[in-house]
Amino acid sequence: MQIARCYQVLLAGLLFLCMAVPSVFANPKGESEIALLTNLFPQNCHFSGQFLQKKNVEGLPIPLHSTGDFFFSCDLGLIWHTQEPFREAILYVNSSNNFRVHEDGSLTPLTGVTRYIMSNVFVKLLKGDTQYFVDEFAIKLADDNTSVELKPESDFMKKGIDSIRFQKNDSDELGITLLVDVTDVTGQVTHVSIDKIRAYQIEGKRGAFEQCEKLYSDNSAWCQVLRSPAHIRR
Amino acid sequence: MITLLTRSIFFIAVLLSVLFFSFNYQHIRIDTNLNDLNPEKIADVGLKSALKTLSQDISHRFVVVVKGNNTDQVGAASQALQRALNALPGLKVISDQTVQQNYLHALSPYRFNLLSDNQRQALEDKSPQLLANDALRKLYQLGDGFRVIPFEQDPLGWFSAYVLSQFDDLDVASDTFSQNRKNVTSFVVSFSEYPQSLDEQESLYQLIKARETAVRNKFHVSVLHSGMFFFAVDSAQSAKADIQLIAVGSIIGILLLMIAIFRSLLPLFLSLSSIAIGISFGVLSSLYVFGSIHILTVVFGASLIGIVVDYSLHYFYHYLSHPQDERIRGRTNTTLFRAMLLSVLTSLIGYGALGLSDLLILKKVALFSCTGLVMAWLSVMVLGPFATRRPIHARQAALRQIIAGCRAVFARHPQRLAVTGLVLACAAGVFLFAGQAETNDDPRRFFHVSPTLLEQEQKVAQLTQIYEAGRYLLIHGQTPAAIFDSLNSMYALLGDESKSLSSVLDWLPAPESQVKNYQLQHALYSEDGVLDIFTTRIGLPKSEFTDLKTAYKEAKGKTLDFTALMKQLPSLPPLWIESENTIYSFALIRKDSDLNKIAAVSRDVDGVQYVNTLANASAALKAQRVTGSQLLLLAYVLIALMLAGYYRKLSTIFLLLIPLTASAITLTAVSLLGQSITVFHIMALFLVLGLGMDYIIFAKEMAAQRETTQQAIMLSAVTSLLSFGLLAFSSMPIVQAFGSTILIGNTINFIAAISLFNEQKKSQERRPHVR
Repeated sequence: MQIARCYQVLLAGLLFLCMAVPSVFANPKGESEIALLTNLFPQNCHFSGQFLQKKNVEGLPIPLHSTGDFFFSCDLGLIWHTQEPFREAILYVNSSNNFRVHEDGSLTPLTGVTRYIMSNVFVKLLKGDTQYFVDEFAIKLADDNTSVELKPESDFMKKGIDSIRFQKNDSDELGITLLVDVTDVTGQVTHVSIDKIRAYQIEGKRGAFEQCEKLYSDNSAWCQVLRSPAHIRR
Repeated sequence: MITLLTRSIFFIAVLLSVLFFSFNYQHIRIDTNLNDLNPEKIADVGLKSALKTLSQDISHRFVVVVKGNNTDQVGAASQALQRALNALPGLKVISDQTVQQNYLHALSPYRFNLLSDNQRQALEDKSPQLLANDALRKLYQLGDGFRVIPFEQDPLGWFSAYVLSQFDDLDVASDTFSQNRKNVTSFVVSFSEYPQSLDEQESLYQLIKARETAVRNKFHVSVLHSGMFFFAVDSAQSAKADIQLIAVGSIIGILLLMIAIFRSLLPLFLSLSSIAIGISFGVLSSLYVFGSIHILTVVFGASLIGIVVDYSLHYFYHYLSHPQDERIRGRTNTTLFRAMLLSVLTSLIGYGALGLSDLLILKKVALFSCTGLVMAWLSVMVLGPFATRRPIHARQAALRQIIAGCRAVFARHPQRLAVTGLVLACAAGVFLFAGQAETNDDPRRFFHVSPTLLEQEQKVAQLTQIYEAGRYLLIHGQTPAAIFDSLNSMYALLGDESKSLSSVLDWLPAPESQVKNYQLQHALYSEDGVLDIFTTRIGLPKSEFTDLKTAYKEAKGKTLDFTALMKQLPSLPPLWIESENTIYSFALIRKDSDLNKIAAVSRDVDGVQYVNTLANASAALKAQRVTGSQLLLLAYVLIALMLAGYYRKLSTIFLLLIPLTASAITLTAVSLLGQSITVFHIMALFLVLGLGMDYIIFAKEMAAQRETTQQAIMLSAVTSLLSFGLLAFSSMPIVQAFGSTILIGNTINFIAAISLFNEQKKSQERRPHVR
């Protein structure tokens, strides 16, 4: 039970860092834990980007690469869209309505292992519940002075996560990128690189929905799901 | 009358018991198990053993809840308390991590036999290509693809997914952390070694309390606990106070009485010796038959002091009532023996009748009391002649005055007293038969539990209990397959309501299902199966997982049974018990379930029985109360026959009207005083009968020495009333019921005995040693 929960926490940690991208850019040199954390939280409510994920699985001799894009809106939720090596999207709407979109376009509600994210960590993250994360993690600048490291403090978190680390890079060629490394207690390391981040100045849910439709014109149904999840449930 | 052989046996027995108590006193186990109050109506030996195992397991665990305003504080407090309790001797905290690890360790070798419903469905519906795609997708997904065992042993992640879904569904973790009560955490503690003696229990209880207090103060959290152990300790504390009150009160009363009357150490020595010998043999017989002595037996047994001392009093008064020349010639021996024998027989009938009850505790009291009475009686008969070698003097003047006072009140118009008694008895009978007396068969009301403990218990239940208390399904069969078949039928008939049940099926599939699951997994591990497709797509050679394929082949025909699972999961409640060639399994029922439906469906499935322990116990106790009343009537009939046969006079049967009247008035009185009539009141009436007949027979047998006899009866009644009167002030309702019934009933017996036997022909009494 807790193994599952902790892994959900791990996933939430990754998502959390993705959401945090714009704020890290805004203040990369926070000195205190609170300040670092506050800076991690989204200051912009609507943004999109691309990701490159590399997963090193203990016991598997080759790394697993995947790529995709995402869109986050405070008013709608998150679309996490994997394009390679297969197509799939996960739609995080709110604490009770989250879906997996399969290759054929069909939707499956996320249940079981993902419940914890929906109900706890993920929702707290979206709400910007600073206190929750201060309670759960020790947040500090890493030794290299360029990365921010989160170490779980509670025994509960320690059962699943060893550490989460992220680093911001800014280059002329790639622009702003964020590298996220999550190491779990089994030694499995997931690297996520997020780049091509673009923030949007949108007012209200309708604006967010229209932006979503622009980004995912071929899959506008996803945006519909984000806007009216209860309708999909029915 | 008492032969040399009897004397020799008595002395050897006393010597052996002295040796036993000298060298083994530390091994005397005082039992505090409250289950002894449950009626024993289970004839099935195997079932009885299974229920005992279950009950013992439950008794040997307790739940601790830590509550606070801050999640971190609660977590830290819980961890600190777990460490502290784990450090205590005999205690072991059942951590969710250990349960999960053990469960995983037990399942892992049999992973090819395990499939969830969804996995079975997928294997039946999907092609190998689709299944390989799904496995690959999960491996890539963010936050998915977690393996509970090394990747090379479960590359497709099927076993990991199965285990994680099990962890989600099962309440394997004691931690109740959830979004609704994030500031509450709980854990289960088991006894690796249950403290046997009261002192050990009390000592451990104090240690637990100290650890809880330390954590409470350090982390500013509240700590609650719940478990049979705490109730047992609480009951033992109450019982100890009762024992002290009764034993010390009785002994002091008797000491004062004997010294005041006889002013000699010899009679006192005989009385105390008979008490010590009687109680010792009561303890020894209990240890021999039951292996321990129950705390409530000691409480009831302490009241035996008042009965046992009667034999010494009867003996001395018999001595005093006969002239020295008669005693020398031994003429009095027959009369003495007959009176003493009848006296002990009536008490034995009274106490022995308790053994007819199905309540184990009453059987224990009966055994303790009867063996104690016999040995105490024997000690008086054997040691009495030694005590009376020197002349005994009794100060009877004061007693005469007291009796005269009593008689002035009650015996001035004996017929009027008798008629009044009979009228009151009739009125009481009408009151009782009209159903005006409130009855109680709820075992929970038999005890006095500290309000703090009860409050904690209720709070803990609200926070942690997810199953119905005392309600479960009992499944029994000859083979594992029969158990699983019954459970499967039950689940099928219940439909969606089957989610209300938690049984062995949630932990492990039936052996037959395991075989089917193994066959289904052939699609995963066969040549060019799902694993090969997955391996190729991931970019690895097929040979990468050869060992796994070999392991699959080698696992053929090997299934995991529940007994083996339980061996690796000792913290699991005994949901599967094999006893007397039968398997018994228990299915727990979640709260807020449709109990009527579950009960109704259980009646349609062979080998399944819906059990409501509280209702069953209440029904059985009611049956005990009714049966006890019938047996009491039978005892009256038997004593009537004995009286008629012994005295060869039918009218002697009317003597029974005295205890009968006493009983009817007593029941009405205790009812009017606010007590609900329980099986313990009824059982106490056996003693009212026994003691009443004791006085009456003594009064009748010794009618020639009326005054002396009345004094003996009065002293006897005073000692009995002292003991039982002290019982009436017990904090435990059952002890109080017993004591108050005998106190009132025996008082009436006493009044009748000294007031209604005055018309006997008065003989000239000679009291050479009376001053």
